[in-house]
Amino acid sequence: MNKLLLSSLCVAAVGWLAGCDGTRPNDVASLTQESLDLAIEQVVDNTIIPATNDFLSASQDLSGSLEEFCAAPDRAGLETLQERWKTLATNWYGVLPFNFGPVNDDVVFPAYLYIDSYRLRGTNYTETVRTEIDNLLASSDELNTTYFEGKTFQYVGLLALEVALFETAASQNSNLDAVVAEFVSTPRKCELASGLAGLMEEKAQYIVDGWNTSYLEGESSYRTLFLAGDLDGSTPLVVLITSVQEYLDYLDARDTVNNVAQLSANNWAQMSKGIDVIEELLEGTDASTVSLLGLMDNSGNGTNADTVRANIAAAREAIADQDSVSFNSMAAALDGNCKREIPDSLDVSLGINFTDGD
Amino acid sequence: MKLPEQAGVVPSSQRRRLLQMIPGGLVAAAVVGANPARALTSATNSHNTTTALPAGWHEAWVSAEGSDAEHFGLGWISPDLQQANSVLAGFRGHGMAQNPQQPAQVVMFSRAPGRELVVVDIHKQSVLKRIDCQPGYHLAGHGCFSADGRLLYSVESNYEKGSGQVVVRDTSSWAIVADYSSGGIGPHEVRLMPDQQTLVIANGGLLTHPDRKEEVLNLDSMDSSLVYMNGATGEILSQWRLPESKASIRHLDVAPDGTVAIATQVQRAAMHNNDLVALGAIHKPGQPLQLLAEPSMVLAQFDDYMGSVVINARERVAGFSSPRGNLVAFWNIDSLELAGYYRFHDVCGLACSRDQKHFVLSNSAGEVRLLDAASLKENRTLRMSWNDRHWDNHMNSLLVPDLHLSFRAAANPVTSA
Repeated sequence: MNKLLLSSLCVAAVGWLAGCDGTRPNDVASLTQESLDLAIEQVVDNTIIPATNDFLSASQDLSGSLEEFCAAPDRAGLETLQERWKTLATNWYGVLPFNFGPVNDDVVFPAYLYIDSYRLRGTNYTETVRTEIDNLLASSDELNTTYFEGKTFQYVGLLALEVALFETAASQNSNLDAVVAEFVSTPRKCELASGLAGLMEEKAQYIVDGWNTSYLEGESSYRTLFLAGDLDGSTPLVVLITSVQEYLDYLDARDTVNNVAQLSANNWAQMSKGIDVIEELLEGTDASTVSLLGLMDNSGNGTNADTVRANIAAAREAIADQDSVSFNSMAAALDGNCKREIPDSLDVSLGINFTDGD
Repeated sequence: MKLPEQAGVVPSSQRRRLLQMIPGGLVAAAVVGANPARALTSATNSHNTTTALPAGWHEAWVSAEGSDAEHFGLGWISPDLQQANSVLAGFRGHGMAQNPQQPAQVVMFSRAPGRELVVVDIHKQSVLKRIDCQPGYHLAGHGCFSADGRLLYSVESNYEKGSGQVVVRDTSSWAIVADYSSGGIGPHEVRLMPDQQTLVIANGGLLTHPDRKEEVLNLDSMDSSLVYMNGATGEILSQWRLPESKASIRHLDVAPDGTVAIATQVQRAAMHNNDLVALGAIHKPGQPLQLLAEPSMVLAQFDDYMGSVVINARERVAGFSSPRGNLVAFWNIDSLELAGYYRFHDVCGLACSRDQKHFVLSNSAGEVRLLDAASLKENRTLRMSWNDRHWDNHMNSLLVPDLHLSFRAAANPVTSA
C-alpha cells in the first residue's frame, strides 16, 4: 500500500470516527502530509476565516450603532457604542495572530497597520491621536471615510476610535455623561467617529474579501492560494506557525497588555481572545476532525504537546488574575514552543536563517 | 493558479508620498569620518561584467548550505545546466571567495566563532585543504583574495586580546604572512576595492568568544566602523562610523566606481529606546556615509536586521535582504531612494547574475528566485527549487571554466529543479 493511499485511509478513518460518537479522533490521526494538510484546512475554515468574519460583523455593528447614536446622543447609546468598540477590538485579536495574507499583503501599506497602529513597533500613539482629534474638531474639513483614507496609520484605527468614544477631547474626561455632552455640543465628533468607523469597515471588508474572494485583485482567494501552498517561498504550516510565534513575541516584547485598550480597559479581553484562537489553531474546534496538537500526540511527541497545553493553561490563569508579568512570561514560553516543540514535533523547519542569522 | 505579484516597485510619485507621509522620519545622513581625503577610485573590481563569456565558461551560484552538522558544506548551482552539487565541509560555512587565478578554487570560511576554512576544488568536487586558525583566533565568516590570487585575506578575531584582525595567508603554502589590526573589534566582512590594493572592512564592533558561542560580550561599549586599509601594509587609510553606535556594520559590497553599500544589524538589547534605525548606508569615495533612512515602514519590517547586500552596478541599485522580515528591499545608490521590494520567506542569499540583468535570491528552503534588475519584478519562469538543499546566508555569482566537470560523478545526489 503506498504512502498516499495509507494516508488517505487514515484521514478517512478520522472522519468516520468523528461521525460515529462525536469523539475527537485526534488520538488516531497519524502525522502525514495529508493529515497536516487537512488540519491546516480546518484551521483556515474553522478558525481564521470565521475570525475575519466576526471582525467584519463587529465593524458593521459599530457603524450601525454610531448612526443611531449620532441621531440622538444619550448615555445608553454611548454605552452601546463602547460595547461595540470592545467587541470590535476583541475580535481583532482573533485575527491578529494570523498576520499574513490580506491582513498583511503590502510592505508599505498593510491593512493591519490601519487597524492597529501599536502592532508595528509597539509605539503608543495615544497622544498623537489626541492632538489630531483636537485639530480635526477645530478644522472645517469634511470628516468622512474618504478623508480618513488619506491619513497615515497613526491617526486611524482602533486607537483613534477608542480615544473618540471613551473620553472627551476637551479634557480627556472618561465620564459617560461628559462624553455624551461633547458629542451633543460638538457634532463634528460624530462625523469624525463615523469616518473612522467607515474606514475600519473598509479594512475589515478587504480582509474578508481577500480570504474568500480575490487576493490582491487576483483571480483566486487567499484561502485557495494558501491551501495550495502558493506562497512567498514558504509552506502553509510554516506561515501559520511563524505568524503565531511573531504575535506571541510581540505580546511580550512590546508589553502589549499594558499598552493597548487602556482607555476602555478591554486589554485583558483582547489577550484572552488571542489565546482562544491560538488554542483553536492547535487543538481544533468542535468542527475539527484532526488538530496539530493531536498529530503531535500521535507521533510520539505527546510530551511536547502537553508542554504547550500547560503553557496555554498558565496563560489563561495569568489572564484571570490580570497578572501582566506572568502573562508576558507565558507568551514568551509559547513563543518558544512555536520555535521548537511545535515545529520539531511536526517535522517542519522554520528556516535556518530565520532562527539563526549572522 | 498564480500568486499575485509580491514585489513592489516604487514609482517616483509614490516615493515622494512615502517621504511625506512618515512623520518624524529618520535624519538622512551623517557621519563622523576621518581622513576622507583618501579618495578611493578605480575602474574595476570583482563584480561580474556584462561582456560575453569565453567558450566553456559558465556562471555558478555558490553558497554555504546545509541545515545540520551532517550536511554542512559548500553548494553550487549552474543556472545554465540546471544542476546543483555540493561538497561536505564538516562545519557550517558562511562567506566564500574565489581564487582569481584558479577559478575552480573556492575558499569557504566558517561562520563565527568557527576556526576552520576549507579550500574547495569544485571541478574535483572535493576539499583540497583544511586550514585552522592560529591559537586564540576564530574566523568571522568572510574573506577575499588579492587580485593576483597570491594572498588570502580573512577577517578574524583574536579573542584572547579582544581585537579584530585581518590575517593574510600565502596561497601557495597557506602560511600566515601577515596579521594586521582591523582597526576595531569583531570584523565581519572584507572586500577588495576596485584599485585592487585597498581593503574595505566591516568592523562589527562586537566582542565574542568561542566558549560563549554567539553571546556579545561588549554590548555597552561596542564600536562598529567601516575601515579602508592598505592591503599590502595593513595601514589604516580611513575609518568611518555610523551615528547609531549600536548598529553593527556586518556586510558590504563594492561597485566598480568604489561606491560601498553596507548592511547593519542593530543590537537592540543594548539600546535604551525603540527608535527606528537606518540599517543600510552608502559610502562614496571622499564623501560622508549616507544613510538609507526612508521609508520607515520598509525599514521597520527588516526587524533591525540586514543579512546580506549586493550592488547591481548596471542599474546602480543595491539590494538588502532580511530573513527576519522575509524581505528584500532595493535602494538606488545615487539618489538613495527606495526602488522596490520583494517578499520571500527566510531570504538571505543575494547576488547579481553575471550579466547584471537579475538579482538572484536564495532561501533556506532551497529555493532560488530571479528578479529583473531593472524592473525588480520576479521572472517566475526562472524559479528553481532544490528540495534537499538549504542555502545559507550568502550566495555569490562566480564564473567557472568547464563547470560541467563539477557535476561529473557527483559527490552528493543532484536534485532536479
